[in-house]
Amino acid sequence: MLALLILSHSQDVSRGVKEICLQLAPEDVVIEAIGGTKEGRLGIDAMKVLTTLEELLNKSDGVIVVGDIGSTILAAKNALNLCSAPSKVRLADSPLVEGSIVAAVEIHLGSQLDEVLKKAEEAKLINKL
Amino acid sequence: MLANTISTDDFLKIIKNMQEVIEANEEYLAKLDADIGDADHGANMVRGFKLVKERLTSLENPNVGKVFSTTGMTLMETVGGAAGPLYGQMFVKAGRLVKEKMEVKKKDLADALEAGLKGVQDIGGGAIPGGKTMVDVLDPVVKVLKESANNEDITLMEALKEVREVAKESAKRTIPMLAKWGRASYLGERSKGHQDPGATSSYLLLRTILDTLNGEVGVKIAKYAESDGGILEEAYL
Repeated sequence: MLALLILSHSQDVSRGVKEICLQLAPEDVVIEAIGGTKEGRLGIDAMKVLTTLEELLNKSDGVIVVGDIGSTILAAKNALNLCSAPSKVRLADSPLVEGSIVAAVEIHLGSQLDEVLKKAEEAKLINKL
Repeated sequence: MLANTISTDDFLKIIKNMQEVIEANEEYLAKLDADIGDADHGANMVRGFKLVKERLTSLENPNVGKVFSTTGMTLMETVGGAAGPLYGQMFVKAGRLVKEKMEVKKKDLADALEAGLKGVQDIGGGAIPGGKTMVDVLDPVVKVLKESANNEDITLMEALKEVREVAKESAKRTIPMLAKWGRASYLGERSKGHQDPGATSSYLLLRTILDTLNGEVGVKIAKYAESDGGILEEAYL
């Protein structure tokens, strides 16, 4: 089973996105959400991203990471570059909410890591209206 | 310290001095970052290095690798913005090259900083010199160290003197550049005419290696021109 790591500058946003994902993909999907700094401001604790990624790698077959913008993505890349199994991690170039939802559903359907990544990135192209 | 090595104790002093230098220059870094960023580089770095200093003080059985990795992990935890992941990556990757070492020679330092630079470039969108980033300082400094590593005629102190000079000039050289990476890149042409804050903090950190070994505590940028953010005058703390 794969895991999903949701990252945002905002703790509320990361938790909210996780909540939406759990609505759409039953609770057997492992999802962790990280957002905000230790002091509760906007930003991200890049160390927590790394340690959480390692935890998820320990208990899954691979991890898909979706982040919002800017330094969140840097924190994700930093973690990917330093973790023990970078080949089992994919950072999705997707919008945060849509990409996470697609990833969660694909994981629940049992898709392989690269298929989950592909579908999550296709979320960029979906017409909403 | 032996003439051609930097010991674990030296690095503990150096990084603690980095904390003082960063704190002394908080306002300067904030001003540079206000010009082409979001003004938080000074405060972010101060917060990070304050915790670094605490953690290094209580570090058990230190060696050079542990000092670097503790510094990197702490910075990525608490610096915030782009600088946290970037400096975190730099120090941690460098630390892996000098794992278990109690002291380092020119070549070790060169290889370590090169690994740090590669890490920064890897996660920083492949930034190369000329794009108004910390890479504009790190890249030429790594070149200086790699050249000195293979040259028996250059002592460690001479290499570090050149590092200080090159880092300073490289930071200044970012002034007219168009920002191609990072937040400043969103400003386009408006990024020109301002010294890059990340390049500046890199310069300050790197020169502290030599300043510490010379017995000078650290440097404060005493004055700078309002118009171009360039370094005009420096004074030791």
